[in-house]
Amino acid sequence: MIHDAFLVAGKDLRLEWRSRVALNQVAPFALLVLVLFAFALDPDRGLLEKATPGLYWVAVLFSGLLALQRSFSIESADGNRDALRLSGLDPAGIFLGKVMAVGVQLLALEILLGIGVAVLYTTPITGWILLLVTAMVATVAIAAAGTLYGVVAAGLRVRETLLPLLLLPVLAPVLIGSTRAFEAALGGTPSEGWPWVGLMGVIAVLYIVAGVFGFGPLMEES
Amino acid sequence: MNWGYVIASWIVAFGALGAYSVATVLRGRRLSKQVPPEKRRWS
Amino acid sequence: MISQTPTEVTGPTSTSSRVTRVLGFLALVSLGVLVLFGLILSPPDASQGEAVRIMYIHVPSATVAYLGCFLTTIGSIVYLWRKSQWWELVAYAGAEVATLFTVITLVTGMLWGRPTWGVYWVWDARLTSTAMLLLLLLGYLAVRRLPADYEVRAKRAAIVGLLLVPNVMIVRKSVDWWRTLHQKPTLLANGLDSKIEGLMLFSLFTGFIAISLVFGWLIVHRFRLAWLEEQVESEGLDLAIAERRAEALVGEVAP
Repeated sequence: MIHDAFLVAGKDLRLEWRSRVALNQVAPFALLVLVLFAFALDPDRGLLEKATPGLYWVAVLFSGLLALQRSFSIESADGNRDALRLSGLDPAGIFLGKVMAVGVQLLALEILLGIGVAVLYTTPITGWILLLVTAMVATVAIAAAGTLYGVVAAGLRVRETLLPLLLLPVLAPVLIGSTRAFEAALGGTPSEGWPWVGLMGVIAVLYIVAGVFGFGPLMEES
Repeated sequence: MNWGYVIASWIVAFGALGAYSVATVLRGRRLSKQVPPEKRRWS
Repeated sequence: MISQTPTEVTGPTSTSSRVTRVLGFLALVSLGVLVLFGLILSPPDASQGEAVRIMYIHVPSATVAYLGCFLTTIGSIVYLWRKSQWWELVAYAGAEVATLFTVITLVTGMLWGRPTWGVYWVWDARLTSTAMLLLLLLGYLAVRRLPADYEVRAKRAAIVGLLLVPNVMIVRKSVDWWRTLHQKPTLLANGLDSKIEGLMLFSLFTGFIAISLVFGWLIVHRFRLAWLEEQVESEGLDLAIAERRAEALVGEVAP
């Protein structure tokens, strides 16, 4: 299962690297969102600084959504779904592999956005450990839920509109949690952030378990 | 003094339930005609 | 169009049956009792005034909305486990009826909030999580109503339905923390449970009975309707093929 997961993750990341869509389109979009927030919220009034954690995670969610759409539109083209199903790989392994690939892309996006936020919004950072752990746990949660719902929406004509409707309400707790934890890490008291990390951990585990068991039946269908 | 809100919310609730019920029953009648009787087993 | 054959019609001609007629009659009677006690006989509340009368619908609606969500999750689990269409249709009926009651809960809640708090909406934990519940239900319904084969729709919707209750619980928890870490516990806490007695309690109790009966009646009808919808769809496919064939024949005759 783990071996299959690495195989699928490697394949997805190689595909992504070759096509460079994430690099050439999703990453610039993420930066664009940051600039748009600065236009919407006047930077001189301190609003931007106060809202930074929330804006950061909203930007991650929206650009991550684009990356997810992208990774499933590759999959449904050319009957790739059938190929994966016939390949004899463990469905749970395929799911975990996809989660890993999406997670790596999300992490890259988060690093990019983090640099962007630090430079553009000049935010002081106090709790480094909390910041990093929050980012990791939130990434796993977003990637796991995103992959599961991505497969639910995959291969349908309406998938571009369906995926956000399914995914964003489910990720609302992750948005709340990661934002509060970041607030605690950026100039707050870091100890307030840890319960949120725990909650996001629960979400991550729930979706990984649901994916490992639900992926098989989802792949079976025609 | 708040009777307006009370009446409005009761009307909304009863109206929504009534409209949905009528729609469901009418649609059920219409579809029943299209399904052979042996597929409708409740009585 | 189809049933032109003069066979004896043994099946019922609607989604009602003796059970639903009895259920519907009881629901109507209890709704009448609810109007009598909720709007006329019960006194206004000491702190909320007349607005407390909204609660007699609002609280039971919220309860049966959650009940519908449980039906959806249980139905989805059994469908995934046993491939039972019966349970899949229960899940679908539960979700749609739950959506209706969630909307009623939200609207009556807002109409209660305006006279009580002075605004239609506050970012209170319960209000926010109810709004999120509505969005989660709409997501399930969107998948269930996809224009696709029954198998595809049902299986994908079942995955979403399976996660419905866990999601509702997580959203609830997170929204609770989100609010309570920053301000005092919910505004609703001093709303209903403060001092409730006699006729008011009886009105609320009647509300629970009436709304539960309506819920049960709707679930049965919606379930049967869903069954009919699936039958028509599989029938319709045969019919469409026959019609297309007839069209093709007509086309050949035309010059």
